[in-house]
Amino acid sequence: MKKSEITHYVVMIVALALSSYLAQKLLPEEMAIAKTRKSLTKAPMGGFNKFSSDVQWMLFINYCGRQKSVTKENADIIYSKLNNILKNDPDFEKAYAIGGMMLSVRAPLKAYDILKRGAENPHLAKNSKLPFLAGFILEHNVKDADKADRLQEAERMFKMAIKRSGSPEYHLYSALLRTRAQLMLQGDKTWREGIVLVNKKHAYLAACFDEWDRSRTADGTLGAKGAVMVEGAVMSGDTGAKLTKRMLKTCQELRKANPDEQNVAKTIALVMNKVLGSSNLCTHCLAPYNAGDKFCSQCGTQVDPYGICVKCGAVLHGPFCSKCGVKNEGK
Amino acid sequence: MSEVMAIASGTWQRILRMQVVYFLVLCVLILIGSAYRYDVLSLGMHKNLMVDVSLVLNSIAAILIAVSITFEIPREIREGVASTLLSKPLGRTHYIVGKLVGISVSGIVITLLIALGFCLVFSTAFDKVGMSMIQGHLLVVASVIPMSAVGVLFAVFVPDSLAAILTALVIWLGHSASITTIPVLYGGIIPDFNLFNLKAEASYGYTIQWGYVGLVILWGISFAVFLTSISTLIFNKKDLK
Repeated sequence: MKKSEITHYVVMIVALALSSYLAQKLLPEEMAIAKTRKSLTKAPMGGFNKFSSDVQWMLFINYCGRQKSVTKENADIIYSKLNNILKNDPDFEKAYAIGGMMLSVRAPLKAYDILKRGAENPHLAKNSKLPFLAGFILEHNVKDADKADRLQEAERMFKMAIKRSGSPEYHLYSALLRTRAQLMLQGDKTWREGIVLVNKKHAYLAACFDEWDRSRTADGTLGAKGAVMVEGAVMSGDTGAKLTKRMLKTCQELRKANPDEQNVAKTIALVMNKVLGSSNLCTHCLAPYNAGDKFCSQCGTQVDPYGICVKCGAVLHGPFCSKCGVKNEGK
Repeated sequence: MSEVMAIASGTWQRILRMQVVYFLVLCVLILIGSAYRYDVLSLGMHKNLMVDVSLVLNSIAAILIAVSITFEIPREIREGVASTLLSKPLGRTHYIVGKLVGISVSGIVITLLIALGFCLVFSTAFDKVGMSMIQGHLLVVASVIPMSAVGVLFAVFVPDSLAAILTALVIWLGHSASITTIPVLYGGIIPDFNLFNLKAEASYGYTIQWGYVGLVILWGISFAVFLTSISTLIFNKKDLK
């Protein structure tokens, strides 16, 4: 064998070993950059998957533009087209969101499947919209027998949305509480102190109370400026106030709809006692009344007046009575 | 070295002197720019579309350049140009390496022109070009080297049309995910051109480490050296008229 041939073989072997070594080393790095590459279609696309997805996306928009509405018949076609798009580009955020919303009424489970895949995509780990939509469709649009599993999944999606949202909006929180209320109605429906939950609204009040109880600090109040911690995310400042307001409204509605229900009465009493204790509310209809009122303006029930002068009974505007000049302390 | 450069410069000068090349580059840039008008049709995805179209067209240009060598070497052998060249004090290895360098330089220049044109079009249409977009294009530019080596390999032992088909096929399959994970085979004998393919990641603006880009270029060069050494071994045993 000639010397030049030996050199050739040596170069060849060294280059083979080096390229093989580098490829092995690069594969995990490639997967770390392109995290969703493994979920791409197995069809040999020659590396043009994204382009194929773009073209299919434009054809999909064209197809949807030709439909009057989403029906049960074309829902399958839309779902299949979306799958083809997402198989070639699993990071296509808009396809998840728009596709999921399009299918949400006619094919909610398919819509949930699309949105869930988007929510679980590692490249879209900061997106709070997709898990929220997935949870909302599951909780609101899907009607099926496996209710508890579905609701638990919806709760998981809402928790995911709250965790991802830097400063979660109240609607995320509200959706989570609504789902928890529905979950509480599964099984024996018994809540704390032996109270049996009678309907959705009652369960919602119980869920709100549980959340309020969980969020309050040692001194019994909510966090700074009424902030509430949910799933590790601090809700926007007025969430605590909104939660309290929502509980009051639910109490009023429940009292009106179920005046003689003992379980409801016990729950309202608990909420009144712990959450709304210092508020001035009518004992009958729970409507708030103003300083100096002797009767409730909503139901006419006699109420315990506050903010009046101990001497002349005039409504106070400060520590001293503006009619007789007497100092009123702590009134 | 000067012999290699003489052959290489002959190849790249011949390609880069063709006016049709620049006309095609211009057509590619017009196509890239036209993606701007797809805002309604793509439902506001035209920015990503422009990046992706530029990378796709640049990749196609790179593949076509790699395939073009499969016509050149057999033609030179057929017409006796290779024999004339080899009658001078030139080794067959020099000829093959020179051809590879020449076609690689041509490919790098053309794909770089497309990449630069894209940067200009994109910054005019939208805002400044992201780093991942530049890296995506750089990987396409670098992919010319191993793809040209595939073209040279087939060009030395099969007829030109078949060589072109085989080259295109290997490049296509090499881009279609990792075929095997067996060491030596994967990335060594069987190429993984997908290492150069970060089109989706570039269009979404994901972070790509420069270390990765550097290593992929190194892999491309080392794979090209491996294929070229096979090509020269085959070419050295070939009976030229």
